[in-house]
Amino acid sequence: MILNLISWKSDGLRCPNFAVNLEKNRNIYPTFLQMPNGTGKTTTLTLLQYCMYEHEFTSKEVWQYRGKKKNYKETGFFEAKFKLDGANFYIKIEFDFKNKTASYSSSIRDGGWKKEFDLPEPLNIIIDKGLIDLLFIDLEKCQTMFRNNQTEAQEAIRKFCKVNILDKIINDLDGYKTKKRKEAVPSGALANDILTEEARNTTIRSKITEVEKKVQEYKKYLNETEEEFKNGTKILKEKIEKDKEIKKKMENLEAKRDKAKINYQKALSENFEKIKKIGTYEGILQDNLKDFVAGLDDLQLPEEDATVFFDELVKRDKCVCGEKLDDIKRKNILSEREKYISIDAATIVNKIKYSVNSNTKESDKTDLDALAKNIQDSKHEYDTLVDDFKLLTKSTLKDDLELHDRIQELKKTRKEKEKFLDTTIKKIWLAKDKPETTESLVSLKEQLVLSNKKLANLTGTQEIESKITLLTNILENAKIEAEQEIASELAIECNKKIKKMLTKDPVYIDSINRNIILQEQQEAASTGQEARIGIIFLLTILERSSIRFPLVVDTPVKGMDKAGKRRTARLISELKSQFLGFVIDSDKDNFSNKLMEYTGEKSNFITAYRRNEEFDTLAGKFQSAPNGAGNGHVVYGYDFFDKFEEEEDFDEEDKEDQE
Amino acid sequence: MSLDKTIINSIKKNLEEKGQSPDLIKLILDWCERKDGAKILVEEKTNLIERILEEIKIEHDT
Repeated sequence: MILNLISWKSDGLRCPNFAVNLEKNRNIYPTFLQMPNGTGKTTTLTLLQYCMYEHEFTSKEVWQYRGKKKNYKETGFFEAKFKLDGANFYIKIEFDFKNKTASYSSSIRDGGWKKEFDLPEPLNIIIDKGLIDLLFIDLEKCQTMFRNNQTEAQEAIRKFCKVNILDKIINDLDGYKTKKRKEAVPSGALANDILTEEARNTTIRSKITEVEKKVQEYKKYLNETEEEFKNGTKILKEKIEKDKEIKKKMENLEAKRDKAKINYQKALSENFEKIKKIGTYEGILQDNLKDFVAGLDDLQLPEEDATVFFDELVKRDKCVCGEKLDDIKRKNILSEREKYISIDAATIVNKIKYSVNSNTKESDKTDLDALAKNIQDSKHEYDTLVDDFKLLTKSTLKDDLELHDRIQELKKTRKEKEKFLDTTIKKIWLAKDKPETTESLVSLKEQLVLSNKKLANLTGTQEIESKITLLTNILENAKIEAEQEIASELAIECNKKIKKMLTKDPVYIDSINRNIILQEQQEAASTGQEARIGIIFLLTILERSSIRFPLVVDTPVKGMDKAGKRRTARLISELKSQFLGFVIDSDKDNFSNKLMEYTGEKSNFITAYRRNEEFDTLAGKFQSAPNGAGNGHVVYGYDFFDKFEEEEDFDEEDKEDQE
Repeated sequence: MSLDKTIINSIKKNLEEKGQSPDLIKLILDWCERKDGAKILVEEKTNLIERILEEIKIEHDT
C-alpha cells in the first residue's frame, strides 16, 4: 500500500494563502519545503495532520486559525490532495470564523464531494491519530518517545509492523464468544442467573475501560509535566547550591530532619506494638479501672462473694438495716439475690476483674505515658525541623517562590499518579475483589476471566470459551514475543545509524520497551540529541515497514553537526516512503545541497514565503515572480531554494502577529 | 504477505508449541493478511472463526 501527499492549498487562514504541489514531473521525490519562520509551518503541519483523521475543532481553536488584521476573512479553508495506490482523494477543512465553526468535506475515488470526513478503504481502518502524530512530526516535540510514562515508541512498532492486527483478531474472537453466549441463553431461572452475570461482566469491562482511560490520562499528565518538573527542580537546586553556606546549612538541616523523622516513626511504631496488646491500660484509665475492681472487692462482689453475703444475711435475726427478719422476708431476700447479680453477670464481672488485674500489672512494664511523651517530643522535633527547612528554602528562594510552590504542587500530584500507575493498577487479585472496590487492572482482568468462565458454564458454551481462551493466550504471547524481537532488532539497526550519523556526539539506544531507553552510562540526552535519535528511529522503522506512508518532518536536522546532516540526507535519499521536510534557511548547509548531490533530479526543492518586495524581486530573477495579488508565493526549484535567505530582523513579535 | 516476518514467525512458533496443526496456522495467517486489507463481512468473519475453532486442539493446553 502506497500513500502519498500530493498537494495542498489554503485560503483565508492565519498563514499566507499557499498552493503547494509536491509532484515533480508527475513523480513524488524526497522534498524539502523551505518556509521562513512566521509563514505557518506549524499551522500547515497541524492542518495536514487534521486532514488524515477527524479532528473536533473547538470554537477557540477555529478562531486561532483566522487571518489577522487586514487579512481577516469570514471564511477560510485548507484542502489536501492524497494518492492511495494510484487513486486520488481529497480532504477539505472549511472554517467559518464568523460562527467559529469548522467542518469537513471529502472526495474519494471520484465519488464527488461529501460533507463529511471520509478516507478510502483500507486507510479508514489503519489510520488513527497516534499513527499520524508519528508520521507528521515536529522533531522538537518528539521527546514523548523517550519518556518513561509514554508508549510512543512501542506504539510506532505496533502500528508500522502491524502488531496491532493481532489485537484486532483477539477482539473479533471475544466478540464471537459473546455473541454465541447470548444466542445460547435458555429460558427460566437460569436465564436470570445469566442476566445477572452478564450485567456483572459488563460492569467489569466498563471498569477496565475506565481504569485504562485513567492510566492514559495520568501518563499524559506525567509526560506533559516532566520537563517542567525536572527543569524547575534543577533551577531551584542550582539556586540553593549557589551559596555554599546555605547549601551546608540545608544539608545539615536535611540530615537532622531525616533523623528526627526516623525517631518519630520509631516511637509511633513502638506505641503501636504496645497498643496491639489489647487490654493494656495506662494513666488515668488504669487508675479508674483499679478503683473499680477495688470497689467490686470491697463490695465482696461478684457472684461467689455475693452469694456468701446474701446467704449469711438470711441466717441472721436482723437485717443490715436493723429490721427483724422472718421467713417471708428471708424468702424475699433469696429471690431478690438473683436480681442483684446473675451467674452470667458474675462471670463477666469476674472476667473484668481478671483482665484489669493482669493488664494493669502488664502496664507496669510498659509505660504508655512515657511512650506518648516520646511521640510528642519526637513529633515536635521533626515538625520544627521541617518548618526550619521550609523557612530556609523559602528565604533562599524568595525570588522564585512561585516556582517553588508550583514544583511542590507538581511533586505531590506526580507522586500520587505514579503510585497509581506503579502500585494500584498492579495489585494482585483477591477473592473478595469486586469491580466497584478495585482499580487494579490485574484483578479486574482476572475477575473478567472468572466471569467469562461462569457465563460459559451457564450458557453451555464451555468449549467455545476454552478454545477462544487458548487461542487468545497463544496470540497474546506471539504478540509480546514479536514486539520484543522487533524492538531489539530496531535498536541494533538504529545504533548502527547513530554510529554513522552522530559521529561527534553519539548517544546509543539501550533498548526499546514502551519508550526509547538510552544507554545508562550516558547523561540524559538533550532535546537536540533526542530529536536526532527520534528521526533515526522513525526512518529505520519506516524502512522496515511494508506501509509506504509519507513521513512529514518539521526541523529534520535541527542541532545536527555537518556529518549528521550529510548522513541524514543520505538516509532520506534512500527512503522508499515519501519524505517531506520543512526546513529553514539555517538547515540547508550540508543538508539540502547533499540531498541534491545524492539524488540529482530525483528530489524536489520548494520555497513558500510571505510576500514582500525583496523576495518577489529575487523570485523575478529566477523567472518565478508572482502573478496575482495574494499574500503568499511558492517557488519551485533548487536554485531559488538555495539562494533564498530568511529575513534577519525577524523576531518573535512578527511571528506572533503573523502566525 | 505484508505482515512483518518476525510476527509471522512468532505466530507460527507459538501455535506449533501448543501442538496446533499447520492448517490452523495457515488459517490464522490468512486472517492476519485479510485484516490488513479491506473490511471483512460479518458473515465471512463468523465462518472463518468457526473454521478456526474446529481446527483448534484443546487437549494440548495443559
